[in-house]
Amino acid sequence: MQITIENLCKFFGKVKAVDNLNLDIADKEFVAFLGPSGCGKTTTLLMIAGIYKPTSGYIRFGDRVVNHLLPKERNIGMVFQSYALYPHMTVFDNIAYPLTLKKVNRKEKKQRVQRVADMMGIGELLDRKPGELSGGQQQRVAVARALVKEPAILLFDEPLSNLDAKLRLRMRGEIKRLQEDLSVTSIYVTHDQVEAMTMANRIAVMNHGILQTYGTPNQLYEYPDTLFVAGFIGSPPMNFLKIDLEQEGDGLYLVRRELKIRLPEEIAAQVKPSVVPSQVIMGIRPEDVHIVPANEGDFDAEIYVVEPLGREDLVSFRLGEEEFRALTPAPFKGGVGTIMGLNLTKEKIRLFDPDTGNSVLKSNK
Amino acid sequence: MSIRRMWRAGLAYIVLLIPTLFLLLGYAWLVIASFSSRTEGLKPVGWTLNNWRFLWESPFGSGYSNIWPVTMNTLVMSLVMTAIVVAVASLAAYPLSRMKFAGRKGFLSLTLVLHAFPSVTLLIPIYFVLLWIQRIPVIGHEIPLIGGFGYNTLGGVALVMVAFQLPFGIWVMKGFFDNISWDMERSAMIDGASRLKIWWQILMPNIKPGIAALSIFSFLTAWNAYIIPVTFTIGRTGQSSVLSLYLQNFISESVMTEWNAVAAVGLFQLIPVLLFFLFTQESLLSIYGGGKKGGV
Amino acid sequence: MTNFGILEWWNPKNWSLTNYIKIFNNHFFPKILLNTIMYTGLTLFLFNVGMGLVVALITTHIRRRTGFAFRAAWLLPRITPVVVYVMMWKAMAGPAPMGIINDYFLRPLGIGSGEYLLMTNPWVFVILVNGFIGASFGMILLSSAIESIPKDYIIASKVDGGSTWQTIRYVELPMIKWPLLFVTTYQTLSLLTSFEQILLLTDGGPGLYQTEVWSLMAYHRAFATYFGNTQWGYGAAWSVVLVIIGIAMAVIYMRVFKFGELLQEPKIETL
Repeated sequence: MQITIENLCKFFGKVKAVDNLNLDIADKEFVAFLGPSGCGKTTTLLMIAGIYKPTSGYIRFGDRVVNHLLPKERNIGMVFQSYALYPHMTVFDNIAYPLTLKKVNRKEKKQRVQRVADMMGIGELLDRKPGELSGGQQQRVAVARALVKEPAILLFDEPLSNLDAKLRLRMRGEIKRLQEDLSVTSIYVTHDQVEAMTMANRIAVMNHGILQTYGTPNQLYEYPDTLFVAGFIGSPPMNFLKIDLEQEGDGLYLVRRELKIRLPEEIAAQVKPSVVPSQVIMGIRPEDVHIVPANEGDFDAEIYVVEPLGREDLVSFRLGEEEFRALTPAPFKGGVGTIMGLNLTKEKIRLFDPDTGNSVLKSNK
Repeated sequence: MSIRRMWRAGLAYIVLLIPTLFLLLGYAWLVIASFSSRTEGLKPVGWTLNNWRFLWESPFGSGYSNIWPVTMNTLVMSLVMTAIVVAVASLAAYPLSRMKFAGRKGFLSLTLVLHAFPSVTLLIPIYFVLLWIQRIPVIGHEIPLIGGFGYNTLGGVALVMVAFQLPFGIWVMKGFFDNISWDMERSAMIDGASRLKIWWQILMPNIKPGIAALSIFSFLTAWNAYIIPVTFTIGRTGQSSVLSLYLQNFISESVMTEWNAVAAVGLFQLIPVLLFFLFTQESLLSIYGGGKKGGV
Repeated sequence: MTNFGILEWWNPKNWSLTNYIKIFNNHFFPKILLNTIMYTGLTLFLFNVGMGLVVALITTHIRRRTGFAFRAAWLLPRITPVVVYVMMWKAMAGPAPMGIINDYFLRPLGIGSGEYLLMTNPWVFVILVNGFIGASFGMILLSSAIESIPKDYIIASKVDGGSTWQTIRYVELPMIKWPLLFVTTYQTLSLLTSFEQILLLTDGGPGLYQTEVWSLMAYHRAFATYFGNTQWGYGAAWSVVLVIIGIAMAVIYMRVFKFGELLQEPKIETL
């Protein structure tokens, strides 16, 4: 089922929760809504589910405007963060509830419940009450309940955030595989960028009710449209540095007290001419910063702290007020306070307007 | 240090213990007095079961019936009142807690104002309303068991108590509804349930403690009530007399020295309360817990 | 508002303010006003708030089961049938040798000569009887407020070197300020309008109006037949004053305690 969202707005009193959202989700696609809490992603999901009514704008399933359909008329399944299992019913009754309400006959109901329960690996637990299950098992029951009516659309509202780290990793894979096997159009709301990156075909990043960007995980990681997206996606986050962009001869240079970097041609060609010269924000990911002996890199900096991550070490430097991080193969030898040189992979430099936060590179997606 | 601390802890216990024991003295007297022919302080002067004669003969003389019809009246009145309060309060509290409709805030504020209303002010107008209802055929005074809903009937008294109990009941139930997760209700909606089905199949089973607490509280309120029955019924052992009236009449016709018989009747009325109390203290204490959010 | 008669209450003949003027001209008006203030003030201060807070504080700082048992005991007066409860107090106050207080407290101390204490000290009993019922409201509300204080604050205070008393004084009491204020205002209204216990205990006596309070006066005028006939209108006039206080208090609750904020917006918008 294809979903189209047009100029969708939602106000709670005077507070604007969703601001003029436009989005389309292809049939069988897995889309993640990513953003910090309060960014409007769950509100959007609940409007798609029919729990909230849009203040203005349209939601279409296929060609049909669904704004005024009741949740039960939309043929959706939803998995909640709190699982929202009915504590007074057995697992069987929980999963069967959508079928019971549809007055599906007993035999068919039993078959279908057993089938999804087996698929989720909880076929043995049907007689238990939700209170007797572990978090992971409750999660599976919730997914089974969403699947049992064979919905056209699956909605997930931060389904993994109540699980411990190990289980989360496992469920992440299972949900992704399930979605691929069933080919159900799915929307997955999360504040965890790793979940969004690993699971979704496309990610819609939202902040303050506004859609920041919408694209594949790779596009978002390599060519973030805004400073917010650049900082939100990727861990450890992208380094940002205030820096002056200047023309010198036929080259573009990034200049700051301690450093001067010439932009490689392919990046320089993308810079919008209107921003030269001006102050910009340079962004570069920690894996594109390489530590070399002092005086041998693009600039020198003093080590502030070294954090071992196992496979790699994360080394932080101080540049004036700002922090600058580099990922380097472990083990890193060098103590706090040592001056080291830093070399940047200049093709990976991204530039942003400090006022609007937008990228000043022409998009080359 | 540790001696000082123990002394302080001891002091706390003593501060608590003295008034508590004082409070329990009355109950001790009630039990002891009802089984003795006379008491001096808590000391019985001769044990006896004579005080419990009221169970089979009337203390007001042979013209009157014994206590059982009156007990039956109290029970019927309390059950009728409890049933109406719980049914109406839980139905009314659901939309007030969880549905969007015009006038919701106004209605909730109104129940709050009503709850803050002094009961004495309403007794006078209600008296006239009941007199008026009494003149309606059947409903007024001819329904079997409860007598009807007019003046001097069990149903009438129950109805008045319902009116007094409802604002409280609605706020308590609203408090319990408020505490149920929205996701559960949303989930049920997506599963295809109507709001009425959600209320009955999903929410009501999950606020059983609230229903229990309100039921017990309402039942005890009705069982213990004095001022409403005395205002709206006539006659001490009449058709619609309840235990509180029976006991109060017995008290006013006795002198201090005969109070052992009165104590037995008092204990008789207290026994069901104590049983409830023993088994449901937690529920009773929680009525304010659930209702706390709703501001009791 | 009127002098309507019982038979034609729906068709009042003569509207007038006579009943209100009668209240203020009543010879006992100052006495009743003073009684009401004394009854409300003392019971509130000593029991509904004072004892309620003390019991709540102590029972939340001792062993859980023990604290719970004490709280349950204090709930007992509230759920005891009021007639039985008042009867117990009459027995407590009874003359020597039957009366418990005379027998166990006053005689050993050599105080009094074993009179019926309800006749000699009615006010003490009016306050005790109402207070032991009233304390439970504050106790329940305040102890649940104390228990819902996040444990981290208590631990932080203990780690900072505070004694139990200091923790109560500087951490817990400030944090239950609002429930405390709520109990105070709410119970003021409850006490102002309650009369059932006094009616059963002293019926406003002994003597003329010695323990008669405002709401009891309203009840007496309307339903008791002191002067051969009941005075509906006059009684209603007394009670209207209480209605005004009640509405004023309700408005205060809504404003000060922001009841509006308790009315959360429904988080499902479809019906």
